[in-house]
Amino acid sequence: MDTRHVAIWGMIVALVLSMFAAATVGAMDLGTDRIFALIGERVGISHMETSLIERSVFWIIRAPRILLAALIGGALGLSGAALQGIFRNPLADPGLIGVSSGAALCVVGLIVFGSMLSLPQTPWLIPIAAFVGAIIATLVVLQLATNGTRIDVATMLLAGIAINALAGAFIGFATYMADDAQLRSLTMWSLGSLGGAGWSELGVIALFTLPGAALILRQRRALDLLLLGEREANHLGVDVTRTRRIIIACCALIVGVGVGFVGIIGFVGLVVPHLLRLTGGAAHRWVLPGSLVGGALLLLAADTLARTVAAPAELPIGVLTSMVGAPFFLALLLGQRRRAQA
Amino acid sequence: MTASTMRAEAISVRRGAQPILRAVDCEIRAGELLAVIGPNGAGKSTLLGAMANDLPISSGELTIDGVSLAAYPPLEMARKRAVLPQQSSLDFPLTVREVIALGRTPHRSSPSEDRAFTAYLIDMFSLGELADRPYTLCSGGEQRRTQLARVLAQLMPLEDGAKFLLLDEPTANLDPARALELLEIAKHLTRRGVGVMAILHDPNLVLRVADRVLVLSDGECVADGAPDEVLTPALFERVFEMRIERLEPEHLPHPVLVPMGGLSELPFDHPLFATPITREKRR
Repeated sequence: MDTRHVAIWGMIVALVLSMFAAATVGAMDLGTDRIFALIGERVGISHMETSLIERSVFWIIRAPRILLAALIGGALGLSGAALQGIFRNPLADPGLIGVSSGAALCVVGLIVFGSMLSLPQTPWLIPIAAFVGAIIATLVVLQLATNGTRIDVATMLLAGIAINALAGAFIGFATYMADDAQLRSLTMWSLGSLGGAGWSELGVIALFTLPGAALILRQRRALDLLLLGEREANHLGVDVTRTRRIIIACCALIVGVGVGFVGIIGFVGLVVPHLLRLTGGAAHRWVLPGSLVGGALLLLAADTLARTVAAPAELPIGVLTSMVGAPFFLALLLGQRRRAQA
Repeated sequence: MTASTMRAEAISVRRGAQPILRAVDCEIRAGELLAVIGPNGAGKSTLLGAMANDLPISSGELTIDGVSLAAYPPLEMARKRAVLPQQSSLDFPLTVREVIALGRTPHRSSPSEDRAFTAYLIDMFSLGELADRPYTLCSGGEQRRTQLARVLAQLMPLEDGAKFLLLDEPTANLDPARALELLEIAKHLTRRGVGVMAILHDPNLVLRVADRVLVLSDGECVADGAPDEVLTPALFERVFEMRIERLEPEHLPHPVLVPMGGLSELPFDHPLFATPITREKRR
């Protein structure tokens, strides 16, 4: 059997084990036996005694948060890998090219100016706004960076910088305009935290993320062919425009919804696919599922660290991933250069 | 039934208002190697691009056996026609084996069948030692062979209906031995019924491998016929503005063309070439 196949199953096992490990740590210690007791009680196969506080900590606080971290990390890793495929460039990260800030821009606009529009109060508004912002940003970047059939990397990154700057300015403006209540929800959101997650948010995110991820995974062969070049993909029977549209829509959806609920989390989509290509090559049947599971693992680890390292205080997760991700990426680049010179 | 043909009838291509091709006819017959030659900028790559559906044509028609190319479903088209581009822009670390296997995609055949074709082609192009190396680390010649193997993977099995292969300057950047080897492979494919179109620059290679040659000049077709009838000193003077000597050695099956020089004198006797340079002191 293909070793990469084994590696993906290994990562899935590691993810499940990490979820259990993450559930044991926190302000209140829960042993592995307690976790099994809690889950067993819920599904009705165990009758060990559990206390109300154990049940609350596990079912209300930790379990949804752990699942959310895995879900959003997976979405970020997968969309990074897929965007890199259609841009045909390993530097296309949803954070760097402005997809995340496009989503952020719309969410902030909704929080601060939404009341003026007398929109209905529903939890669905945030993911919808985030999706709209993300897809507009992606289309703008793609439009600007496409030069004939080639994608110009410098323009892609510059367009991303421009969108990031615009979003930053707008978020600043919105913060200035916001009243006290709005300011509080804005600050909570913009720091990036998985802390506010409950089962209902998790449900909304899963509803968008799981189908979006499935659609992206189905494009793995087309993405491989696109690596050869657009014309080559066309000669091999790929409908390039359609593939692009699917990937862009799905990435905007899964990144946008994630950003809408937890804020901007950078570098997961850049580091994870890069690591996978370094270790197992660029074939998308490896990079896409690997980035999904790898992203989930990375964000779960980061979030567990964020909520335990300075307990009872909590680090903003976006700050943490950038603090770990950026130097790590630099080290990777350095290592690659050394090997190329050797 | 006559042999299958892929045909461009009176096609014109424009870039903006600028006409690149003007009413060009081109016919690739199954079992034949068609060489396309012409000076730089004559429209050779544009013609190939139009027949590969890379470029829109402003008038004319592209057909295979009378059926418009646009009428073929994309996957069926991909199984019938493969294109070897002049330059590859793959810069992700797929292995040589993976690149070749990508050629199998339009067939939707079983993985074991795909592996068999891929392994056969790796062997045929002596890429065995490179098979699991990243494509990005291969030399230009190795990359070209890998890409050719990929397009062959796309056309196989050859018995399954008419197949056409378009090669855009396949010998560019290859040493003479590799260039000839590549064309011999193309030639071999024609014996198996494939129709091959190749843009070439070396007229002696054309004489050696081509069944027919089409000469383009300034967006128009100026000659189309058997290489040893078409490639005359008069044609070279008219189209390439150069003198050639045509030798017909008795022990060779085809003539040999020797370039003798351009028609116009190069302007190296201009007085500027003999003027000593005066360097002024800068303030």
